[in-house]
Amino acid sequence: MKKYPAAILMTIFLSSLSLILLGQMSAASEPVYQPVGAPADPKVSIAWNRYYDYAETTRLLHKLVEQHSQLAHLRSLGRSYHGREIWLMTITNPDTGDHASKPAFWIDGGIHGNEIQATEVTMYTAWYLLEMYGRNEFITRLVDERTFYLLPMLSPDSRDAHMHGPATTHSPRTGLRPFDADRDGLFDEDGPNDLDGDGHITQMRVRDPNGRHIPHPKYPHVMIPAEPGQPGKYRLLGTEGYDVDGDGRINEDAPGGYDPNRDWPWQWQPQYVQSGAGPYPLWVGPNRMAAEFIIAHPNIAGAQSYHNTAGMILRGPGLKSERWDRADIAVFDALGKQGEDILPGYRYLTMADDLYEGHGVEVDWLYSMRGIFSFTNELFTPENFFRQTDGGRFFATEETRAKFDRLLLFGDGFVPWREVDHPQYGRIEVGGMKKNWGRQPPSFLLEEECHRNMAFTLYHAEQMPQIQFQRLKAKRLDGAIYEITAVFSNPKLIPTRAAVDVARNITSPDIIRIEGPELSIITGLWSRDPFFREASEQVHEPERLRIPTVPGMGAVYARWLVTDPGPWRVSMTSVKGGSVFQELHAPDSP
Amino acid sequence: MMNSHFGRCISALVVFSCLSVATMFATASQRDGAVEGYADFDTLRIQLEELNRSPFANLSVLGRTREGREIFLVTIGKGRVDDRPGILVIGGLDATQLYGSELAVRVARRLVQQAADDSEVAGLLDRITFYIIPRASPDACEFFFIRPFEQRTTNTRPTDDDHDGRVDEDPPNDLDGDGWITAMRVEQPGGRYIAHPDDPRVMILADPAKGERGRWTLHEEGSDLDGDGRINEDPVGGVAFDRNWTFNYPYFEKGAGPFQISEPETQAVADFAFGRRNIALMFTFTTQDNLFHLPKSEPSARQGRIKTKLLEADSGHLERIGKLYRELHGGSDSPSPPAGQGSISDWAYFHYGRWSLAGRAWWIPKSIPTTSEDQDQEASAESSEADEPVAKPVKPAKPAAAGASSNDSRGRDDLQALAWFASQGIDGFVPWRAIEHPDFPGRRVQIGGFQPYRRSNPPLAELDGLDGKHVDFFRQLAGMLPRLRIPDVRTESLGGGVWRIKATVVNEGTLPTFPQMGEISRQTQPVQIAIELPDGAALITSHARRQLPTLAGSGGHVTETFLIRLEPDFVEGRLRLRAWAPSVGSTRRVVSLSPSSR
Repeated sequence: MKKYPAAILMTIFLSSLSLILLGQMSAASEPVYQPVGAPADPKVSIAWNRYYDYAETTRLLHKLVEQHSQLAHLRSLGRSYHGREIWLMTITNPDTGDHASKPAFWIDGGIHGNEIQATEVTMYTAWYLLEMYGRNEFITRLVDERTFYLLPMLSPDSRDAHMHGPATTHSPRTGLRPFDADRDGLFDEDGPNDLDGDGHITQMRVRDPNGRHIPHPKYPHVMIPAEPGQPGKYRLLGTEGYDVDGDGRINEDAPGGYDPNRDWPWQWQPQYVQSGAGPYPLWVGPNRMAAEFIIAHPNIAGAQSYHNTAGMILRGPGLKSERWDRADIAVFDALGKQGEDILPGYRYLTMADDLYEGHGVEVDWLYSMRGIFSFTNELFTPENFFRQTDGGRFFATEETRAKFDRLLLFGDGFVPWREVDHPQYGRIEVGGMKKNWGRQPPSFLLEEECHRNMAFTLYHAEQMPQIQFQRLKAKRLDGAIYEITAVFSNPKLIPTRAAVDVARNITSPDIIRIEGPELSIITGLWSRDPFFREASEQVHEPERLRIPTVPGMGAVYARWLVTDPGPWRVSMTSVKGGSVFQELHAPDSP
Repeated sequence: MMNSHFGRCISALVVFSCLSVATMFATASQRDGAVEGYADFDTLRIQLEELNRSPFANLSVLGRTREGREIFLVTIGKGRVDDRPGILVIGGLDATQLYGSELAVRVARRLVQQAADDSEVAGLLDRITFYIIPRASPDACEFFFIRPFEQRTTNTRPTDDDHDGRVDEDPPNDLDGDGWITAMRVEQPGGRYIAHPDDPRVMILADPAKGERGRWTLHEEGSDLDGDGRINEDPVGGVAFDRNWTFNYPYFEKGAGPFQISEPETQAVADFAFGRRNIALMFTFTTQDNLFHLPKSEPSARQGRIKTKLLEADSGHLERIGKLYRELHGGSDSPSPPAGQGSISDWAYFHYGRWSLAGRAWWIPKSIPTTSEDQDQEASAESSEADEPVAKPVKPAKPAAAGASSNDSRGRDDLQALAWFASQGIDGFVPWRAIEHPDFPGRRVQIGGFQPYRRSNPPLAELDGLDGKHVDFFRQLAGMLPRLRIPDVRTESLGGGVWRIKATVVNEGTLPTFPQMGEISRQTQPVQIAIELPDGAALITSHARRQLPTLAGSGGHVTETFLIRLEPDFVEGRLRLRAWAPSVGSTRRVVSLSPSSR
């Protein structure tokens, strides 16, 4: 090491000290330079280029509620199998109405514990709504007018098992309720084993001239099949592990062994039909807690369930045999297409037709049984690697991943092959992709992932129905009769009740009510037509008109003939569209 | 000790005498149900606690209902009960089938008694455990004891049945104050009902093809409390236990609940069942009968991913079991089961993968002549609405079989029930009487009809003997269950210390180790075989524990081969073989291996 004169060192020290002091002074007196996007001086500072485990996420949730106690409320819906809290954060401005009275948006993350960035995207959304309230007009309005229910960790046991235990990028997808996957009477007795103790479950291989695999010529740690006629060098032995329970099979009964996203009541089928299903729907505790919360909050009109991977905005149906109402599909299409613009590299798809069929899928339940317009975003697109498609399906091709690893991760993505002793196979090698990438964005791509996906859900939330009182008028007719007409509109894309909701009678109809101290109604009608050319008379309870739905960008017209002189109070209450009212006095004369 | 025992006997005696007094005088101490003598929940609890005093019975709680009642389980067996194949018996699905709860308790009582007195039953309990859930849906059953009596099958989960944003706001009303919610007929245009030609008490649908013109609309007794133009459209609760199961679940239908297994009652029973791999078979006291009426099977049942029909491989066995049940029961005219959806008995076969037996056990016999053959005094007296012009009787020349006199089946079940009431001296029908009804000003409105629950729950004495028949059935059924044996282990020395061991596992029962549906559904645990080697011996091939295929009944078998090698200094040792599955049982075989003596 070179030696520098003490004077130079002192100068450097002093100047850096003054720089630090300067920085502090400017922070105290002058506003920081704000980038567009997230604030540079949030009340709660969170690095969005890293992942947080259950305990850290719990701390962040508490910090957010402490610093934003006016807008945020945190509760636990219960505990996971291993006793972790199922946190639910509610965000709305209570001064503009109770959370349950406003159209609400549901977001859950991490139903598959290994799909970890789902939690960060949900947390970023909570953070952004809270930090930007009062700074950004759009966000402020959303938080005033809407409610957000955010459940960042639907499978917290598995999140921690992925982060702190040996895992692959694909595991654990299951929850950790014990499950006898191989039906031998022993539970969770033969999962993968971390033979080299590095925290990553990788692959096993052994050098074997009769094996049919060879190293990739350019990226030698990648194993590829030998060409026909070309001799192989290695035999692949599957995922790291050995036969723990002596039944001749390896890794056949890992902890858990079910799929929490085949656990939902709509079109549920047992395991022999739908692999991953448990004994009955909502058998998975946190799912049942979430479902019961959602059922108890029919004001939820939009929902997002975050998963990975790779770059998809998915809607139901989960089965090809299902037929959805065209009016609802049009709403999904409008939202989804906008999503493709907000999320470059993401495609708007339907599960059954474009991906695979599934029974008992959460978003299918949200729509088909609860009438909620819902998407599953499959986070992270392989197009992010080099901003182009490479033909590899969900995870890009092995070459692309290896190239990205070499050029941008500097080799951090792979565990080099190394020799270990295997109880059944003897001396073999283990190595391969680490658990912390493949499905998850690398640190420097995470924040963008969070922001863009949030932007899509906020667009979706903005399009939830919102009843507006457009006009209220009383007209005096001959014979001391008043004709009262009220017009309500819904200036958003999403109807107050989806077609499926109306068809299946899922939530209550919208109610238009007239009240008055001496109210005396002759008849009550409503129509979709301003001229009442086709109107429905409601014979029973005309003071409480039941309206099936107000379509997106649509209106409803209510009319009463009354004999009392007023005054009247007219209101509309929609479970998913909010409520409005106006008061009216009788006009003086016809 | 002596004292408390004595005290309990006394209290049991008191209860017993109260019950018998109640039948005669309806004293205030015993709550009267829709039919006298049935046990309300508090009485059931006393009965089960009494049962629990037997060394063969153990009373436990599977869960609690929304109203806090326990879902009780009586386990009958000895020692490590959960390690033996189990027969699960369920009753008390709702108040319309409360007699099933009574029978389940009686069966439990009789089994416990026989276990003490009858060495054969004591021996049976060394091999089999009985799990009895006598009242699976106690809240729903309790409506049997709540006035006014109202025909319902649901618990009390608040529901917005009419989807108007209000919950439970329009239940039925006892307009005539007689303590029964019966029916209400209104004479008005659009009415589709007429009185039965043979018995004007019975309402039937008019058939325009026969020149009949409808006169009455038919309703449940009540009024439009919430002013929405509909009557009784949103009663209190709820969810029906037998419509809340996963197979063929009736989504969005009334009584089905918000989703499958949504209720504390169904979840408690499901969790218990899935937690007991040893359960081999389930018997439900239910109208969803499959023992008198074997469900159809067809060759195509095996095809298709989702199974919805009884599999052919299983239907023969079910037919055999049904035959046994029919013989022991002795009945011949059991009514067809209703088309139930989301029922526990279908679930038990299609999703739980067990033999599921559904027995109605009791019904109104068809053999009693109806008024149509014998217009008796009572019927003409009942038609004191003599001003009531009835549709012209269409009498066949010769009265044929019971209830078929009018040459069509309309109202047949009602006529049958009335005839049976008459023969038993049961006053189970409220004669039609006119009332003023505010919802139908100026219309003729009459209240009358069958009293709830009384057609499906007989006087207790009718059940005498049925418990014994069911216990006999269960005993014989237990003999049919699969049993494993390893009759034969062949050891063969191949030289050089290498031995080939061949073990045969046989199913000695007459039923296969699992129904085919159990194999397909993967809810059962397959039979496994394991070999334990003495010191100085090691397996050459593969592994010591293996899963076996399903073994057919009556001698179905499989032979497993193990290759082992003995160390040169091996003198003598024992091979231990074990074959087992929780719902089948287990068997062991020990073989001596002594190469030197060869």
